[in-house]
Amino acid sequence: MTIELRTEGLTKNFGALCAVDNLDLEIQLGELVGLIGPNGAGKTTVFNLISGFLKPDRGHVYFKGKDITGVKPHRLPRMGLVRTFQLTNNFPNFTVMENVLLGAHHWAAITPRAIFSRPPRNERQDAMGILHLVGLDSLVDEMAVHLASGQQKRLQLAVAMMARPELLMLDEPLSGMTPEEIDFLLQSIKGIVDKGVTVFLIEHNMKAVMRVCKHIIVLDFGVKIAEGTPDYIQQHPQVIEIYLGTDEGAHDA
Amino acid sequence: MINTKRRSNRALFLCPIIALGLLPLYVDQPYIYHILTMVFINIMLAVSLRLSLMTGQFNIGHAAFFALGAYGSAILGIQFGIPSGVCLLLGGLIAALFSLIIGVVTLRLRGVYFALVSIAVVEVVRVALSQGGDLTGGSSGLGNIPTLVVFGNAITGRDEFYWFGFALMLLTIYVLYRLEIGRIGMTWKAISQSENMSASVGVNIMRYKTAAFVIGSFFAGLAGGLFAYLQGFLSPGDFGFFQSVKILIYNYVGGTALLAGPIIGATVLTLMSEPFRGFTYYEIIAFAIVLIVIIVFLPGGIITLPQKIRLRKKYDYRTPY
Repeated sequence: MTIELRTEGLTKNFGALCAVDNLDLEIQLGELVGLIGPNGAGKTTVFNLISGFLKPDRGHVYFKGKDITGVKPHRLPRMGLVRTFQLTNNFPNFTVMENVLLGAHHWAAITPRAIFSRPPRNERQDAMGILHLVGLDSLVDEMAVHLASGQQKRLQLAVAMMARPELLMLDEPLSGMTPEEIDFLLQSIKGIVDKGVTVFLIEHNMKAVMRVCKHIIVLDFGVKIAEGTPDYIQQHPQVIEIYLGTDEGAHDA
Repeated sequence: MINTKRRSNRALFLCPIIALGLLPLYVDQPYIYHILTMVFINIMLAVSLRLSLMTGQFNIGHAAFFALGAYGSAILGIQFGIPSGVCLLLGGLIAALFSLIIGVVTLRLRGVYFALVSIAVVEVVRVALSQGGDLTGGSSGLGNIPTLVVFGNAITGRDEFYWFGFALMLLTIYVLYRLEIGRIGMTWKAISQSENMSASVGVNIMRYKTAAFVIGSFFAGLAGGLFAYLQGFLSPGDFGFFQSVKILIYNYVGGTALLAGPIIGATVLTLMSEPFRGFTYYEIIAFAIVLIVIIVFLPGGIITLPQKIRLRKKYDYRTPY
Protein backbone atom coordinates (compact mmCIF):
# COMPACT_ATOMS: atom_id res chain seq x y z
CA MET A 1 0.00 0.00 0.00
CA THR A 2 1.22 3.48 -0.77
CA ILE A 3 0.61 6.34 1.58
CA GLU A 4 -1.33 9.14 -0.11
CA LEU A 5 -1.42 11.62 2.74
CA ARG A 6 0.55 11.78 5.95
CA THR A 7 0.77 14.35 8.71
CA GLU A 8 3.52 14.40 11.26
CA GLY A 9 3.19 16.16 14.62
CA LEU A 10 0.66 18.62 13.21
CA THR A 11 -0.07 21.32 15.81
CA LYS A 12 -2.16 24.49 15.70
CA ASN A 13 -2.95 26.86 18.54
CA PHE A 14 -5.53 29.63 18.46
CA GLY A 15 -4.33 31.82 21.31
CA ALA A 16 -4.44 29.66 24.43
CA LEU A 17 -6.65 27.06 22.75
CA CYS A 18 -4.88 24.08 21.27
CA ALA A 19 -7.08 23.21 18.26
CA VAL A 20 -4.90 20.43 16.88
CA ASP A 21 -2.30 18.77 19.09
CA ASN A 22 0.61 16.81 17.69
CA LEU A 23 -1.51 14.90 15.18
CA ASP A 24 -0.14 12.01 13.14
CA LEU A 25 -2.35 10.75 10.33
CA GLU A 26 -1.88 8.31 7.50
CA ILE A 27 -4.23 7.80 4.60
CA GLN A 28 -3.59 4.98 2.16
CA LEU A 29 -4.09 5.34 -1.58
CA GLY A 30 -7.61 4.47 -2.70
CA GLU A 31 -9.10 4.41 0.80
CA LEU A 32 -12.28 6.04 2.06
CA VAL A 33 -11.40 7.46 5.46
CA GLY A 34 -13.77 9.20 7.87
CA LEU A 35 -12.74 11.82 10.40
CA ILE A 36 -15.23 12.10 13.25
CA GLY A 37 -15.41 13.79 16.62
CA PRO A 38 -17.65 16.07 18.66
CA ASN A 39 -18.19 19.73 17.81
CA GLY A 40 -15.04 21.75 18.32
CA ALA A 41 -12.78 18.70 18.17
CA GLY A 42 -10.65 20.40 15.50
CA LYS A 43 -11.75 18.42 12.45
CA THR A 44 -12.16 21.38 10.11
CA THR A 45 -8.92 22.86 11.44
CA VAL A 46 -7.15 19.66 10.38
CA PHE A 47 -8.63 20.10 6.89
CA ASN A 48 -7.57 23.74 6.78
CA LEU A 49 -4.03 22.82 7.85
CA ILE A 50 -3.72 20.11 5.21
CA SER A 51 -5.20 22.22 2.40
CA GLY A 52 -3.06 25.26 3.15
CA PHE A 53 -5.82 27.60 4.34
CA LEU A 54 -4.09 27.65 7.75
CA LYS A 55 -0.40 27.38 8.53
CA PRO A 56 0.50 24.88 11.24
CA ASP A 57 2.51 26.07 14.24
CA ARG A 58 4.47 22.82 14.17
CA GLY A 59 4.51 19.65 12.15
CA HIS A 60 4.44 18.66 8.50
CA VAL A 61 1.99 17.51 5.86
CA TYR A 62 3.15 15.11 3.16
CA PHE A 63 1.08 14.46 0.06
CA LYS A 64 2.28 11.67 -2.23
CA GLY A 65 5.57 11.78 -0.35
CA LYS A 66 6.06 15.50 -0.97
CA ASP A 67 6.17 18.04 1.84
CA ILE A 68 3.25 20.41 1.21
CA THR A 69 3.36 22.21 4.56
CA GLY A 70 2.63 25.89 3.98
CA VAL A 71 1.97 25.50 0.26
CA LYS A 72 -0.63 28.04 -0.89
CA PRO A 73 -4.15 26.57 -1.25
CA HIS A 74 -4.45 27.40 -4.94
CA ARG A 75 -1.42 25.27 -5.83
CA LEU A 76 -2.82 22.06 -4.37
CA PRO A 77 -5.53 21.20 -6.95
CA ARG A 78 -2.85 20.97 -9.64
CA MET A 79 -0.99 18.49 -7.43
CA GLY A 80 -4.17 16.44 -7.05
CA LEU A 81 -5.54 17.55 -3.69
CA VAL A 82 -9.01 19.12 -3.71
CA ARG A 83 -11.15 20.04 -0.72
CA THR A 84 -14.72 21.22 -0.12
CA PHE A 85 -16.15 23.48 2.57
CA GLN A 86 -18.61 22.88 5.36
CA LEU A 87 -20.61 26.06 4.77
CA THR A 88 -20.84 27.36 1.25
CA ASN A 89 -23.31 28.27 -1.41
CA ASN A 90 -20.66 27.75 -4.07
CA PHE A 91 -20.55 30.61 -6.59
CA PRO A 92 -24.07 31.90 -5.88
CA ASN A 93 -24.52 34.05 -8.98
CA PHE A 94 -23.35 31.42 -11.42
CA THR A 95 -25.50 28.67 -12.88
CA VAL A 96 -24.93 25.09 -11.81
CA MET A 97 -23.10 24.44 -15.08
CA GLU A 98 -20.82 27.46 -14.68
CA ASN A 99 -20.00 26.41 -11.14
CA VAL A 100 -18.85 23.00 -12.32
CA LEU A 101 -16.92 24.50 -15.25
CA LEU A 102 -14.89 26.54 -12.77
CA GLY A 103 -13.71 23.28 -11.30
CA ALA A 104 -11.74 22.80 -14.52
CA HIS A 105 -9.69 25.91 -13.75
CA HIS A 106 -6.34 24.29 -13.14
CA TRP A 107 -6.34 21.86 -16.04
CA ALA A 108 -8.29 23.76 -18.70
CA ALA A 109 -6.08 24.73 -21.61
CA ILE A 110 -4.95 28.34 -21.60
CA THR A 111 -4.98 29.08 -25.30
CA PRO A 112 -6.01 32.42 -26.81
CA ARG A 113 -9.24 30.67 -27.73
CA ALA A 114 -9.89 29.63 -24.15
CA ILE A 115 -9.15 33.14 -22.92
CA PHE A 116 -11.50 34.89 -25.32
CA SER A 117 -14.31 32.33 -25.77
CA ARG A 118 -16.82 30.37 -23.76
CA PRO A 119 -15.57 27.04 -22.32
CA PRO A 120 -15.24 24.37 -25.04
CA ARG A 121 -17.59 21.46 -25.60
CA ASN A 122 -15.37 18.78 -24.06
CA GLU A 123 -15.32 20.63 -20.73
CA ARG A 124 -19.09 20.98 -20.85
CA GLN A 125 -19.44 17.26 -21.55
CA ASP A 126 -17.19 16.42 -18.59
CA ALA A 127 -19.26 18.74 -16.45
CA MET A 128 -22.50 17.12 -17.60
CA GLY A 129 -21.17 13.67 -16.69
CA ILE A 130 -20.23 14.81 -13.21
CA LEU A 131 -23.58 16.55 -12.70
CA HIS A 132 -25.25 13.31 -13.66
CA LEU A 133 -23.15 11.51 -11.05
CA VAL A 134 -24.37 13.80 -8.26
CA GLY A 135 -27.92 13.96 -9.61
CA LEU A 136 -28.03 17.62 -10.58
CA ASP A 137 -28.25 17.12 -14.33
CA SER A 138 -31.81 18.47 -14.42
CA LEU A 139 -30.73 21.78 -12.87
CA VAL A 140 -27.82 22.81 -15.12
CA ASP A 141 -29.14 26.29 -15.85
CA GLU A 142 -30.40 27.03 -12.36
CA MET A 143 -28.57 29.73 -10.41
CA ALA A 144 -26.63 28.20 -7.53
CA VAL A 145 -28.16 30.70 -5.10
CA HIS A 146 -31.58 29.15 -5.71
CA LEU A 147 -30.54 25.61 -4.75
CA ALA A 148 -31.60 23.92 -1.52
CA SER A 149 -28.90 23.17 1.01
CA GLY A 150 -28.59 19.51 0.07
CA GLN A 151 -28.28 20.46 -3.59
CA GLN A 152 -25.60 23.01 -2.68
CA LYS A 153 -23.60 20.22 -1.07
CA ARG A 154 -23.96 18.02 -4.11
CA LEU A 155 -22.97 20.89 -6.39
CA GLN A 156 -19.87 21.43 -4.31
CA LEU A 157 -18.95 17.81 -4.70
CA ALA A 158 -19.42 18.19 -8.46
CA VAL A 159 -17.16 21.26 -8.57
CA ALA A 160 -14.49 19.37 -6.63
CA MET A 161 -14.78 16.34 -8.92
CA MET A 162 -14.36 18.58 -11.96
CA ALA A 163 -10.97 19.53 -10.55
CA ARG A 164 -9.92 15.89 -11.12
CA PRO A 165 -8.72 15.11 -7.60
CA GLU A 166 -6.51 12.23 -6.54
CA LEU A 167 -7.30 12.99 -2.92
CA LEU A 168 -10.73 14.47 -2.27
CA MET A 169 -11.31 16.03 1.13
CA LEU A 170 -15.01 16.51 1.92
CA ASP A 171 -16.04 18.65 4.89
CA GLU A 172 -19.46 17.37 6.06
CA PRO A 173 -20.78 16.49 2.60
CA LEU A 174 -24.04 15.09 4.01
CA SER A 175 -25.20 17.94 6.25
CA GLY A 176 -28.55 19.46 5.37
CA MET A 177 -29.65 16.46 3.31
CA THR A 178 -32.76 14.33 3.33
CA PRO A 179 -32.33 10.56 3.98
CA GLU A 180 -32.97 9.85 0.28
CA GLU A 181 -30.30 12.36 -0.73
CA ILE A 182 -27.88 10.80 1.76
CA ASP A 183 -28.41 7.34 0.26
CA PHE A 184 -27.90 8.72 -3.21
CA LEU A 185 -24.78 10.70 -2.31
CA LEU A 186 -23.18 7.80 -0.44
CA GLN A 187 -23.55 5.78 -3.63
CA SER A 188 -21.92 8.65 -5.58
CA ILE A 189 -19.02 8.82 -3.12
CA LYS A 190 -18.55 5.05 -3.33
CA GLY A 191 -18.50 5.42 -7.11
CA ILE A 192 -15.80 8.07 -6.80
CA VAL A 193 -13.68 5.78 -4.63
CA ASP A 194 -14.16 2.96 -7.12
CA LYS A 195 -12.67 5.21 -9.79
CA GLY A 196 -9.48 5.26 -7.73
CA VAL A 197 -9.88 8.58 -5.92
CA THR A 198 -8.84 8.59 -2.28
CA VAL A 199 -11.55 10.22 -0.16
CA PHE A 200 -11.06 11.75 3.26
CA LEU A 201 -14.28 13.03 4.80
CA ILE A 202 -15.51 14.77 7.93
CA GLU A 203 -19.02 13.77 8.85
CA HIS A 204 -21.43 14.14 11.72
CA ASN A 205 -23.85 11.53 10.48
CA MET A 206 -22.43 8.55 12.38
CA LYS A 207 -24.62 5.97 10.71
CA ALA A 208 -23.47 7.06 7.27
CA VAL A 209 -19.81 7.06 8.26
CA MET A 210 -20.06 3.58 9.74
CA ARG A 211 -21.76 2.40 6.57
CA VAL A 212 -19.24 3.59 3.99
CA CYS A 213 -15.86 4.13 5.65
CA LYS A 214 -13.49 1.21 6.08
CA HIS A 215 -11.23 3.29 8.24
CA ILE A 216 -12.26 5.89 10.83
CA ILE A 217 -10.22 8.39 12.81
CA VAL A 218 -11.71 9.91 15.98
CA LEU A 219 -10.61 13.33 17.15
CA ASP A 220 -11.35 15.00 20.50
CA PHE A 221 -9.88 18.32 21.64
CA GLY A 222 -7.40 18.17 18.79
CA VAL A 223 -6.04 14.77 19.84
CA LYS A 224 -6.48 11.52 17.95
CA ILE A 225 -8.08 9.17 20.48
CA ALA A 226 -8.89 6.19 18.29
CA GLU A 227 -8.42 4.85 14.80
CA GLY A 228 -9.61 1.71 13.08
CA THR A 229 -12.48 -0.14 11.47
CA PRO A 230 -16.10 0.87 12.17
CA ASP A 231 -16.56 -2.16 14.45
CA TYR A 232 -13.46 -1.33 16.45
CA ILE A 233 -14.50 2.33 16.79
CA GLN A 234 -18.00 1.40 17.96
CA GLN A 235 -16.52 -0.75 20.74
CA HIS A 236 -13.82 1.71 21.77
CA PRO A 237 -14.48 2.83 25.38
CA GLN A 238 -13.09 6.35 24.92
CA VAL A 239 -15.21 6.93 21.82
CA ILE A 240 -18.32 5.74 23.62
CA GLU A 241 -17.39 8.04 26.47
CA ILE A 242 -17.11 11.19 24.38
CA TYR A 243 -20.26 10.47 22.40
CA LEU A 244 -22.49 9.20 25.21
CA GLY A 245 -20.82 10.82 28.22
CA THR A 246 -19.62 9.09 31.38
CA ASP A 247 -21.62 8.26 34.47
CA GLU A 248 -19.91 11.12 36.24
CA GLY A 249 -20.96 13.52 33.52
CA ALA A 250 -24.53 12.26 33.78
CA HIS A 251 -24.54 12.96 37.51
CA ASP A 252 -23.18 16.47 37.03
CA ALA A 253 -25.90 17.22 34.54
CA MET B 1 -35.88 29.78 -31.58
CA ILE B 2 -32.51 30.38 -30.02
CA ASN B 3 -31.18 31.36 -33.41
CA THR B 4 -33.75 34.10 -34.03
CA LYS B 5 -33.18 35.43 -30.55
CA ARG B 6 -29.48 35.60 -31.15
CA ARG B 7 -30.04 37.30 -34.50
CA SER B 8 -32.31 39.95 -33.03
CA ASN B 9 -29.77 40.55 -30.28
CA ARG B 10 -27.09 41.03 -32.87
CA ALA B 11 -29.29 43.54 -34.70
CA LEU B 12 -29.78 45.35 -31.41
CA PHE B 13 -26.02 45.86 -31.20
CA LEU B 14 -25.30 46.51 -34.85
CA CYS B 15 -27.94 49.20 -35.49
CA PRO B 16 -26.53 51.84 -33.14
CA ILE B 17 -22.98 51.01 -34.26
CA ILE B 18 -23.83 51.57 -37.92
CA ALA B 19 -25.88 54.67 -37.13
CA LEU B 20 -23.08 56.20 -35.07
CA GLY B 21 -20.47 55.25 -37.65
CA LEU B 22 -22.36 56.93 -40.49
CA LEU B 23 -23.28 60.02 -38.49
CA PRO B 24 -20.43 62.27 -39.73
CA LEU B 25 -21.63 61.80 -43.32
CA TYR B 26 -24.97 63.42 -42.53
CA VAL B 27 -24.45 65.80 -39.63
CA ASP B 28 -22.04 68.71 -39.71
CA GLN B 29 -21.90 69.95 -36.14
CA PRO B 30 -18.41 69.92 -34.54
CA TYR B 31 -19.97 70.50 -31.13
CA ILE B 32 -21.97 67.26 -31.36
CA TYR B 33 -18.84 65.34 -32.31
CA HIS B 34 -16.96 66.77 -29.39
CA ILE B 35 -19.65 65.65 -26.96
CA LEU B 36 -19.96 62.23 -28.52
CA THR B 37 -16.19 61.74 -28.41
CA MET B 38 -16.35 62.56 -24.71
CA VAL B 39 -19.10 59.92 -24.43
CA PHE B 40 -16.74 57.40 -26.07
CA ILE B 41 -13.93 58.29 -23.68
CA ASN B 42 -16.21 57.93 -20.69
CA ILE B 43 -17.51 54.59 -21.96
CA MET B 44 -13.91 53.38 -22.21
CA LEU B 45 -13.32 54.49 -18.62
CA ALA B 46 -16.53 52.89 -17.36
CA VAL B 47 -16.04 49.50 -19.02
CA SER B 48 -12.39 49.35 -17.97
CA LEU B 49 -13.29 50.06 -14.34
CA ARG B 50 -15.75 47.18 -14.60
CA LEU B 51 -12.82 44.74 -14.50
CA SER B 52 -11.87 45.90 -11.01
CA LEU B 53 -15.47 45.73 -9.85
CA MET B 54 -15.80 42.26 -11.37
CA THR B 55 -13.04 40.91 -9.11
CA GLY B 56 -14.72 42.52 -6.11
CA GLN B 57 -12.27 45.42 -5.70
CA PHE B 58 -14.11 48.69 -5.10
CA ASN B 59 -11.68 50.89 -7.01
CA ILE B 60 -12.11 54.64 -6.46
CA GLY B 61 -8.73 55.38 -8.02
CA HIS B 62 -9.48 54.78 -11.67
CA ALA B 63 -9.00 58.45 -12.62
CA ALA B 64 -5.35 58.13 -11.59
CA PHE B 65 -4.70 55.79 -14.51
CA PHE B 66 -6.76 57.99 -16.81
CA ALA B 67 -4.48 60.87 -15.73
CA LEU B 68 -1.29 58.87 -16.21
CA GLY B 69 -2.34 57.90 -19.73
CA ALA B 70 -3.22 61.50 -20.59
CA TYR B 71 -0.14 63.15 -19.11
CA GLY B 72 2.10 60.26 -20.09
CA SER B 73 1.27 60.44 -23.78
CA ALA B 74 1.30 64.26 -23.80
CA ILE B 75 4.66 64.57 -22.05
CA LEU B 76 6.32 61.90 -24.19
CA GLY B 77 5.20 63.83 -27.25
CA ILE B 78 6.28 67.24 -25.96
CA GLN B 79 9.60 66.28 -24.35
CA PHE B 80 10.88 63.56 -26.61
CA GLY B 81 9.08 64.18 -29.86
CA ILE B 82 7.84 60.61 -30.04
CA PRO B 83 5.16 60.20 -32.76
CA SER B 84 1.78 60.82 -31.21
CA GLY B 85 0.23 57.54 -32.32
CA VAL B 86 2.96 55.69 -30.44
CA CYS B 87 2.52 58.04 -27.47
CA LEU B 88 -1.13 57.10 -27.25
CA LEU B 89 -0.19 53.44 -26.88
CA LEU B 90 2.67 54.25 -24.50
CA GLY B 91 0.25 56.24 -22.35
CA GLY B 92 -1.80 53.09 -21.88
CA LEU B 93 1.32 51.11 -21.08
CA ILE B 94 2.50 53.68 -18.53
CA ALA B 95 -0.86 53.47 -16.78
CA ALA B 96 -0.66 49.67 -16.87
CA LEU B 97 2.87 49.60 -15.47
CA PHE B 98 1.97 52.01 -12.69
CA SER B 99 -1.13 49.98 -11.84
CA LEU B 100 0.98 46.82 -11.69
CA ILE B 101 3.20 48.40 -9.03
CA ILE B 102 0.21 49.76 -7.10
CA GLY B 103 -1.76 46.54 -7.54
CA VAL B 104 0.91 44.17 -6.24
CA VAL B 105 1.03 46.21 -3.04
CA THR B 106 -2.63 47.06 -2.51
CA LEU B 107 -4.76 44.29 -4.02
CA ARG B 108 -4.28 42.15 -0.94
CA LEU B 109 -6.59 44.60 0.77
CA ARG B 110 -10.29 43.94 0.51
CA GLY B 111 -13.49 45.92 0.74
CA VAL B 112 -13.31 49.32 2.34
CA TYR B 113 -9.55 49.13 2.96
CA PHE B 114 -8.79 48.83 -0.73
CA ALA B 115 -11.30 51.59 -1.48
CA LEU B 116 -9.54 53.95 0.94
CA VAL B 117 -6.10 53.24 -0.50
CA SER B 118 -7.41 53.77 -4.02
CA ILE B 119 -8.66 57.24 -3.01
CA ALA B 120 -5.15 57.96 -1.77
CA VAL B 121 -3.71 56.83 -5.11
CA VAL B 122 -5.86 59.18 -7.15
CA GLU B 123 -5.12 62.11 -4.86
CA VAL B 124 -1.37 61.47 -4.84
CA VAL B 125 -1.34 61.40 -8.63
CA ARG B 126 -3.38 64.59 -8.87
CA VAL B 127 -1.13 66.43 -6.41
CA ALA B 128 2.01 65.12 -8.09
CA LEU B 129 0.74 66.41 -11.45
CA SER B 130 -0.06 69.83 -10.05
CA GLN B 131 3.41 70.07 -8.45
CA GLY B 132 5.30 68.72 -11.45
CA GLY B 133 6.84 72.05 -12.52
CA ASP B 134 7.51 72.54 -16.23
CA LEU B 135 7.19 68.83 -16.95
CA THR B 136 3.48 68.63 -16.14
CA GLY B 137 2.71 72.33 -16.35
CA GLY B 138 1.76 72.37 -12.67
CA SER B 139 -1.67 73.46 -11.54
CA SER B 140 -2.02 75.89 -14.44
CA GLY B 141 -2.11 72.94 -16.82
CA LEU B 142 -0.22 71.46 -19.73
CA GLY B 143 -0.66 72.92 -23.21
CA ASN B 144 1.08 72.58 -26.57
CA ILE B 145 0.08 68.98 -26.93
CA PRO B 146 1.02 67.87 -30.46
CA THR B 147 -1.59 66.86 -33.03
CA LEU B 148 -2.57 63.23 -33.07
CA VAL B 149 -1.18 61.44 -36.11
CA VAL B 150 -2.27 57.86 -36.75
CA PHE B 151 -0.61 55.91 -39.57
CA GLY B 152 0.41 59.16 -41.23
CA ASN B 153 -3.03 60.76 -41.05
CA ALA B 154 -3.28 63.87 -38.91
CA ILE B 155 -6.44 63.79 -36.85
CA THR B 156 -7.48 67.39 -36.45
CA GLY B 157 -11.16 67.86 -37.25
CA ARG B 158 -13.81 67.01 -34.68
CA ASP B 159 -15.38 64.48 -37.04
CA GLU B 160 -12.04 62.73 -37.53
CA PHE B 161 -11.60 62.57 -33.79
CA TYR B 162 -15.09 61.22 -33.54
CA TRP B 163 -14.32 58.37 -35.91
CA PHE B 164 -11.03 57.55 -34.27
CA GLY B 165 -12.53 57.63 -30.78
CA PHE B 166 -15.42 55.52 -31.94
CA ALA B 167 -13.07 52.90 -33.34
CA LEU B 168 -10.94 52.88 -30.21
CA MET B 169 -14.04 52.52 -28.02
CA LEU B 170 -15.40 49.65 -30.11
CA LEU B 171 -12.05 47.91 -29.88
CA THR B 172 -12.00 48.37 -26.11
CA ILE B 173 -15.53 47.07 -25.69
CA TYR B 174 -14.86 44.11 -27.97
CA VAL B 175 -11.69 43.04 -26.17
CA LEU B 176 -13.27 43.41 -22.74
CA TYR B 177 -16.42 41.60 -23.86
CA ARG B 178 -14.44 38.64 -25.13
CA LEU B 179 -12.38 38.60 -21.94
CA GLU B 180 -15.54 38.67 -19.86
CA ILE B 181 -17.24 35.71 -21.54
CA GLY B 182 -14.03 33.67 -21.65
CA ARG B 183 -12.44 31.62 -18.94
CA ILE B 184 -10.58 34.58 -17.42
CA GLY B 185 -13.77 36.61 -17.07
CA MET B 186 -15.54 33.68 -15.46
CA THR B 187 -12.69 33.38 -13.01
CA TRP B 188 -12.76 37.11 -12.21
CA LYS B 189 -16.45 36.91 -11.41
CA ALA B 190 -15.88 33.77 -9.37
CA ILE B 191 -13.30 35.52 -7.19
CA SER B 192 -15.77 38.24 -6.24
CA GLN B 193 -18.32 35.60 -5.24
CA SER B 194 -16.12 33.41 -3.10
CA GLU B 195 -12.36 33.67 -2.70
CA ASN B 196 -12.20 30.43 -0.73
CA MET B 197 -14.05 28.42 -3.35
CA SER B 198 -11.89 29.98 -6.07
CA ALA B 199 -8.68 29.07 -4.27
CA SER B 200 -9.93 25.53 -3.68
CA VAL B 201 -10.25 24.92 -7.44
CA GLY B 202 -6.78 26.32 -8.02
CA VAL B 203 -7.29 30.01 -8.79
CA ASN B 204 -4.29 32.18 -7.97
CA ILE B 205 -6.37 35.03 -6.65
CA MET B 206 -3.67 37.70 -6.49
CA ARG B 207 -2.60 36.99 -10.06
CA TYR B 208 -6.14 37.26 -11.41
CA LYS B 209 -6.96 40.39 -9.43
CA THR B 210 -3.75 42.02 -10.60
CA ALA B 211 -4.44 41.07 -14.22
CA ALA B 212 -7.91 42.63 -14.05
CA PHE B 213 -6.51 45.77 -12.44
CA VAL B 214 -3.69 46.16 -14.96
CA ILE B 215 -5.80 45.47 -18.05
CA GLY B 216 -8.46 47.90 -16.82
CA SER B 217 -5.81 50.54 -16.18
CA PHE B 218 -4.32 50.04 -19.62
CA PHE B 219 -7.62 50.92 -21.28
CA ALA B 220 -8.12 53.83 -18.88
CA GLY B 221 -4.68 55.08 -19.94
CA LEU B 222 -5.65 54.71 -23.60
CA ALA B 223 -8.77 56.78 -22.90
CA GLY B 224 -6.49 59.32 -21.20
CA GLY B 225 -4.31 59.65 -24.28
CA LEU B 226 -7.35 60.16 -26.46
CA PHE B 227 -8.60 62.79 -24.02
CA ALA B 228 -5.25 64.62 -24.11
CA TYR B 229 -5.24 64.88 -27.90
CA LEU B 230 -8.92 65.78 -28.05
CA GLN B 231 -8.61 68.63 -25.56
CA GLY B 232 -5.11 69.77 -26.52
CA PHE B 233 -4.78 70.94 -22.94
CA LEU B 234 -4.64 69.07 -19.61
CA SER B 235 -5.27 70.30 -16.10
CA PRO B 236 -4.86 68.24 -12.90
CA GLY B 237 -8.39 69.28 -11.93
CA ASP B 238 -9.80 66.99 -14.62
CA PHE B 239 -8.45 63.90 -12.86
CA GLY B 240 -9.43 64.29 -9.24
CA PHE B 241 -11.49 62.28 -6.82
CA PHE B 242 -14.75 63.41 -8.43
CA GLN B 243 -13.67 62.05 -11.80
CA SER B 244 -13.06 58.66 -10.16
CA VAL B 245 -16.44 58.73 -8.50
CA LYS B 246 -18.09 59.63 -11.78
CA ILE B 247 -16.64 56.52 -13.43
CA LEU B 248 -18.00 54.43 -10.58
CA ILE B 249 -21.41 56.07 -10.88
CA TYR B 250 -21.51 55.28 -14.62
CA ASN B 251 -21.26 51.62 -13.63
CA TYR B 252 -23.86 51.66 -10.91
CA VAL B 253 -26.39 53.85 -12.73
CA GLY B 254 -26.11 51.73 -15.87
CA GLY B 255 -26.11 48.45 -13.96
CA THR B 256 -23.33 46.08 -13.04
CA ALA B 257 -24.87 42.80 -14.20
CA LEU B 258 -24.06 43.19 -17.88
CA LEU B 259 -21.33 44.86 -19.89
CA ALA B 260 -24.08 47.00 -21.42
CA GLY B 261 -24.55 48.62 -18.00
CA PRO B 262 -21.47 50.86 -17.90
CA ILE B 263 -21.92 51.67 -21.60
CA ILE B 264 -25.46 52.92 -21.06
CA GLY B 265 -24.58 54.62 -17.77
CA ALA B 266 -21.64 56.52 -19.27
CA THR B 267 -23.70 57.59 -22.28
CA VAL B 268 -26.70 58.83 -20.32
CA LEU B 269 -24.70 60.62 -17.65
CA THR B 270 -22.20 62.25 -20.01
CA LEU B 271 -25.02 63.67 -22.12
CA MET B 272 -26.86 64.73 -18.98
CA SER B 273 -23.89 66.55 -17.49
CA GLU B 274 -23.15 68.51 -20.67
CA PRO B 275 -25.30 71.55 -19.70
CA PHE B 276 -23.40 71.71 -16.41
CA ARG B 277 -19.99 72.11 -18.04
CA GLY B 278 -18.10 74.69 -16.01
CA PHE B 279 -20.51 74.45 -13.08
CA THR B 280 -18.92 71.58 -11.22
CA TYR B 281 -21.03 71.93 -8.08
CA TYR B 282 -24.28 71.68 -10.00
CA GLU B 283 -22.86 68.69 -11.84
CA ILE B 284 -22.11 66.94 -8.56
CA ILE B 285 -25.65 67.64 -7.38
CA ALA B 286 -27.10 66.28 -10.61
CA PHE B 287 -25.00 63.11 -10.37
CA ALA B 288 -26.05 62.64 -6.76
CA ILE B 289 -29.73 63.00 -7.59
CA VAL B 290 -29.53 60.52 -10.46
CA LEU B 291 -27.64 58.05 -8.31
CA ILE B 292 -30.18 58.26 -5.50
CA VAL B 293 -33.12 57.90 -7.87
CA ILE B 294 -31.54 54.85 -9.48
CA ILE B 295 -30.67 53.19 -6.17
CA VAL B 296 -34.20 53.67 -4.88
CA PHE B 297 -36.23 52.84 -7.98
CA LEU B 298 -33.92 50.70 -10.13
CA PRO B 299 -31.34 49.07 -7.85
CA GLY B 300 -30.07 46.93 -10.74
CA GLY B 301 -29.38 50.02 -12.87
CA ILE B 302 -30.87 51.25 -16.12
CA ILE B 303 -30.38 47.84 -17.76
CA THR B 304 -33.14 46.43 -15.55
CA LEU B 305 -35.63 49.03 -16.82
CA PRO B 306 -37.16 46.80 -19.55
CA GLN B 307 -37.90 44.18 -16.91
CA LYS B 308 -39.33 46.82 -14.58
CA ILE B 309 -41.82 48.05 -17.15
CA ARG B 310 -42.57 44.49 -18.26
CA LEU B 311 -41.42 44.84 -21.83
CA ARG B 312 -39.47 41.73 -21.31
CA LYS B 313 -40.19 38.46 -19.63
CA LYS B 314 -38.65 38.15 -16.21
CA TYR B 315 -34.98 37.62 -16.68
CA ASP B 316 -32.52 36.78 -13.99
CA TYR B 317 -30.17 39.74 -14.06
CA ARG B 318 -27.15 38.42 -12.31
CA THR B 319 -25.06 40.67 -10.21
CA PRO B 320 -21.56 39.36 -10.71
CA TYR B 321 -20.38 41.46 -7.79
